[in-house]
Amino acid sequence: MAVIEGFNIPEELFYWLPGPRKGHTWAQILPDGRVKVGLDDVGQAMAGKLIFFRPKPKGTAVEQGKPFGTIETAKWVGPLESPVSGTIAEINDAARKKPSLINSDPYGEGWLVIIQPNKLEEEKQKLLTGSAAVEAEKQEIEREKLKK
Amino acid sequence: MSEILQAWRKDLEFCKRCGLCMPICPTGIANDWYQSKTPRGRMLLLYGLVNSELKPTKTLAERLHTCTLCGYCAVKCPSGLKLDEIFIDARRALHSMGIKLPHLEEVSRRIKESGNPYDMPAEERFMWLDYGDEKPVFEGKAGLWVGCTLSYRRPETAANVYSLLRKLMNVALVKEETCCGAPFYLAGDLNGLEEQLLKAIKVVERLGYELLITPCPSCARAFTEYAEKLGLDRGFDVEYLPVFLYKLLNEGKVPELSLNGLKVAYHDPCEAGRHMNIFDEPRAVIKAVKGIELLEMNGNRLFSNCCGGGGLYIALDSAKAVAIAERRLKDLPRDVNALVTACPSCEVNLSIAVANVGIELEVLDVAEVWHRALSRLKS
Repeated sequence: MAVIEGFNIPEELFYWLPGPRKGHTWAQILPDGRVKVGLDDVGQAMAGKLIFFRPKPKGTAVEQGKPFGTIETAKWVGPLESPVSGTIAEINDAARKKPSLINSDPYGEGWLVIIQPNKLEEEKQKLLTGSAAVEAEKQEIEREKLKK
Repeated sequence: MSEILQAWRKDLEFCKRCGLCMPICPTGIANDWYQSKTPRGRMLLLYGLVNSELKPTKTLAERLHTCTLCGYCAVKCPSGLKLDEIFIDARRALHSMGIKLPHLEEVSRRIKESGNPYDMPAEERFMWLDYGDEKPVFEGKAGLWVGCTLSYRRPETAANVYSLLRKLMNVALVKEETCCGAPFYLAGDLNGLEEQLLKAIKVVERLGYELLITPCPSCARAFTEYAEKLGLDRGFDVEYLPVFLYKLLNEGKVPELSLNGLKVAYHDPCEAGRHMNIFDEPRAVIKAVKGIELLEMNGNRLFSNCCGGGGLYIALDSAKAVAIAERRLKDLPRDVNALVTACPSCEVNLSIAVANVGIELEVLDVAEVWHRALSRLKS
C-alpha cells in the first residue's frame, strides 16, 4: 500500500481518475467476476464529512464515468462516477445508513456498491492501477494541496 | 450611497432598536446573539451605512448574509417594519457596490457553468429518474419543474413527486430544465437573476407548456413574484405543488386516500408560509389522507421557526445552518413518525439534522404523503 502525504493508495486496486477533481472511485475485481466499488482516500478527503450516500437502486444499469449515486456534505453534492459499466448488484447498506464509514474506512467497511460488469476487459484499459495510479493521486494531492 | 438603501432611510431611522426581533432570529440564536448577526444589529449596520458612518466592506456584507431571510423578525417587529425586504435590498445594494463574497461567487459560478448551484453535471439533471419506476415523458401541456435541490439532493423525493403527478394527470418533464435564478436573488444579484430566469422562462415557452407545476417554493416565487418585479413576461401559468394538489382535491379529482398509523408534523417553510402566505393548503392536503394524524409543531404558521436552509446561509456557514435545523427538531411534538414539509431546501437541511441527531424520523414532502397513500391504493 502506497502512502502519499498520509493518504492510503492500495496499489492492487483499479482507479477511475479521468482528470483533476474527477472520479476518485476504486474498483476491485472479485473472484466471481463482479466489481466492488468505493471512493478512494483522496476522494473522501476532498469531499469532507459525508452526511448522505444515495446510491441508485439495485438493478440499475450504469455506465463507466457516469454516476451510480451521489454523496453529500451539508452544502455540497457530488456524483459518484462508476469505474465500470454494468448493473448495480449490491449496495452497502451500512455505508448508506452511516456515510461516515466512507470517510473513516474507504477501502473497507465504507465500500459503496458491487457492480456486475458487462465490458470489464475493454474498460479496464481506462482505469489506473499500481504506480500509474499512485502517480495520478500524488499529482491530485499536490494540485489540491491536500493534507491529512 | 446606494439609492436602493436610501429608499429605506425612514425605516432605518424608525427602528426603535427594541430588540424584540432578537430572541427569535435563527442566526442570532445560532451565533449566541452576536449583535451584528441579529436583525437589530443588521439594522444598525445599515443605519450606519446609509448615513455614511460605515463603509461597505466584506465584513459588513457577511453580516448581512448571516441571515436565512426567514422573515420571522418582520412578524415580530412592533413597528411593522418589513425587515426581510430591507435585508434583501441591502444585499442588492452591497452587490451593486461591487462587494463580492466568496460563497456567493462560487454559487454564481456553479449556476453559470452547470445550470445548478451544486456543481452537479447538467447532463445528470434527470438522474433522479433512476430512483423511481416512472418512464420519462417530455411532451405535454403541463410541465413538472422539479428544481435543482430535489433533482440533485432528494432524488427519491423527485421520483415520488413525478410518480404521484403521473398517476393524477398527464404531466411531462421539462427537458431543458435549469436553475430558475432564485439563488441570484438571494445573493442580491438582480442581473444574474434576470439572465437566468429569462433563460428558464424561454425554455418552458419554447417547449410549449401552458402550465408549470413545481414542488419548490423558491422556483415558484422566481417564476411569479421575481418575474413580475423584473417586468418579465411569461406565456404559461405557474402552480406551487401543494396548492395545485389542494385544487385537485377540491375539484374532486383525487381518489379516496388512506394511510394508517402515520403520525406527522408539518413544518411551515418560510418561503411558502411567511413569504407566500400558504399555510392551509399543505395541511389540507395532508389531512385529506384518512388515518393520518397531523400534529402542529411548537412554532407554526406565521410563527414557524426557520430550519436554517434559506437565504444561502448554508453556503456561508453550513455548521450553523444545520445547528438551526437541529434546534427546529426540538419543536416536534412527541411520537411523530414523519416530519412533512413543502420545500426542498427545508427537506435537505432537516434531513441532515435528523441524521446528525440520530433519531428515527422520516422527512417527507407533502406530495410524498399522497404518493405513499396512492401507491398503497394501487398495489
